[in-house]
Amino acid sequence: MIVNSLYFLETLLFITVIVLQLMNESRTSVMIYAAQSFIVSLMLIIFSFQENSSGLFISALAMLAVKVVIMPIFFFKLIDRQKLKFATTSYLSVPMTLIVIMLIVVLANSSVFRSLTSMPTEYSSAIPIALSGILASLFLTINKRGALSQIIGILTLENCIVSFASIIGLKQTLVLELGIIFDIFVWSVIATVFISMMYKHFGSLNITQITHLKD
Amino acid sequence: MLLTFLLLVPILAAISVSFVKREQKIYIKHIMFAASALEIFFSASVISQTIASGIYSSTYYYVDSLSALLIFIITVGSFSAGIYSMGYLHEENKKDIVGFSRIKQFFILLNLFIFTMFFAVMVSNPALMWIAIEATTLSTAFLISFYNKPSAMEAAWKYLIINSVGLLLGFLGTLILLAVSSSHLEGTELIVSWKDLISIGAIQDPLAIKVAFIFIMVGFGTKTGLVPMHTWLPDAHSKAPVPLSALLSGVLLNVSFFAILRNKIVVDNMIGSDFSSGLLVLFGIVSIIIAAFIILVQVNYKRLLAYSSIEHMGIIALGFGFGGMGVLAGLLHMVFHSLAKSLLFLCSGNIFLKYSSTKISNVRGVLSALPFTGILFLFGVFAITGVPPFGLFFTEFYILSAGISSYPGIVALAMAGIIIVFVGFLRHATSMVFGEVPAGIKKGEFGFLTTAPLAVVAVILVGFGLFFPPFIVRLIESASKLFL
Repeated sequence: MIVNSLYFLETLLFITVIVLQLMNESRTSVMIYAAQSFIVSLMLIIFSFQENSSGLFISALAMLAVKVVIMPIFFFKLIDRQKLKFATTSYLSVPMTLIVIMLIVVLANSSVFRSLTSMPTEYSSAIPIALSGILASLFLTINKRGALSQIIGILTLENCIVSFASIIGLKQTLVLELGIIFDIFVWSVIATVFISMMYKHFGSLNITQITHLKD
Repeated sequence: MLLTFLLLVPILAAISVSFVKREQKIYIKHIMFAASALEIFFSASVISQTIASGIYSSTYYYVDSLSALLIFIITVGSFSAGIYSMGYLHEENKKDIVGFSRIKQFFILLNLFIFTMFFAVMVSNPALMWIAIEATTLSTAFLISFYNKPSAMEAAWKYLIINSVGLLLGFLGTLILLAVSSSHLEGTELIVSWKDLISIGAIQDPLAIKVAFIFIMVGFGTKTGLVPMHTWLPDAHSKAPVPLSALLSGVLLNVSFFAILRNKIVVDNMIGSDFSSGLLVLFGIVSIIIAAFIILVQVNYKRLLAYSSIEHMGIIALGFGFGGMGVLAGLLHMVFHSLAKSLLFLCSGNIFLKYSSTKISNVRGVLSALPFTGILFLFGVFAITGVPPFGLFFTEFYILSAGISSYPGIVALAMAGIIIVFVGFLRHATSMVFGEVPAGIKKGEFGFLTTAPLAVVAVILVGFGLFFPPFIVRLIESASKLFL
């Protein structure tokens, strides 16, 4: 039952990464990120009940508060303030993006990562999907032109790594879990401030138009 | 307890600076002097205790000779950059480039940056070390965009994004390493420390560890500035305020490399050193060659120094990749490079204050315009290019000697790269140092705080070349044994 639920949630997580690749609207992208963070929090809550770990439960709640509530509010405010309706165009076209994602899935299931996908854990069936999610979110960060979508790409990568760590059975202390969540939160705040500053300077968040370093 | 005090000093300094009001700005100097003095005192105590007792290990800290060596590098680098910052920003304040609130912001972030570096090299847990190194990115991003110019903003954004992606990959590698390791540690429920990881012997299935180390190498290698993940480095180092550039190049790169070394020790224990050494040699030689050619055609002296850092990180990587004597020389190289690069960046700060340009073609006659800085700049150039009797000559010689039998082709390429760098540096430096001072440039140095830190670093650099203090020798000997 739990194995199937986690497999389902991991698949949902991977789907959110694909949807983020195809989305061009900033507000929807943030909402998908919030949904994705909710999925990861839910995974941690399931693990916390299964292992009867209050520490894991607290860190899952902290993640829920920070990533599902606080950070999306931050991003929405930024979008409203800077009127960033569409800021997430991609370098590759939609068909090409899908082909790359397909290749990523093949790679994650190939012998290259066999050592990881065959790790002795109860949830080993979900490892290839988790790995595909990591690689696809890395591609998401590279493929997007907008500064906001780069931030969402990096946060997605972090979400995928957290889910991967849970699936391979890595247990951490509560302090450490909270430390990582705090670190990511501070990172998001700083990145958001940077976006505001960049918009003020360049009048755009399309990073292909920001070329002052070539002077 | 000493370690906690050492960590508290920069934190308390940052908090104290945040309370300073405009009319009390002299207090910033007092706080910085006091913080530097306390950091030197506590660092010296930690280093002497480490030498005496070998390893200091507790729930949160793990300090061995390698950490102690890094503590030494951080202390010297932050002392010189911290003191120099006061003089440098005072001059910029006089020119109305920065105001009081910016100066205050600079010192708060600088102290937080120093704290994160100390924390990274002391902490016992690999994931906590990752948090600390990620925190160095966060504390320095606003310092790189300090001047609030479009190019500085762009450099800071590039720095933030590239390093964050890189470090997340490093985090993934760390987690894989921990997951594989925890299955080999009996009775360990929670995440393990460096001490536990090192105690694991050879393991059956090396493939997962190899994948983990590749992620670690790419991740922390990004922060170290190894090619091809180096693209953020020249921009960030050239756009940041000079004292920060000195810290980024002279200290932070070593701290990031330390993260690779810590993991290398663990991985080598599990699967042997061939794999990690091969990767280090590969990244090392590519970094040397690419940096060498860019140095040859460089037009901006701050970028020149930044590319030189990439080259030197490559040389250090080669040393650890070659192993044996290369490890000992690599550790020494970290110390000498840190000193020489700090000296050069601080000199470049005075040059920038005088000429208001970072273009090599706009800088002529430094020896006449800034006699003291000019001499030290030449000193630094000779030191960094490995001219005897400077220490980097010997370390490069020993690193290349260590690899000559196993990797003759790589050694030949590295030698070619080092020669190209020498030619490039000499060409640029002579054109800057000699010649007529451009019209409108007033001759003379700026003041005590912009010259004294240079002199201190230069004295240590030359002094260490002639006579190496026994405590550093013991630290390096002991640290090199960790790689056997």
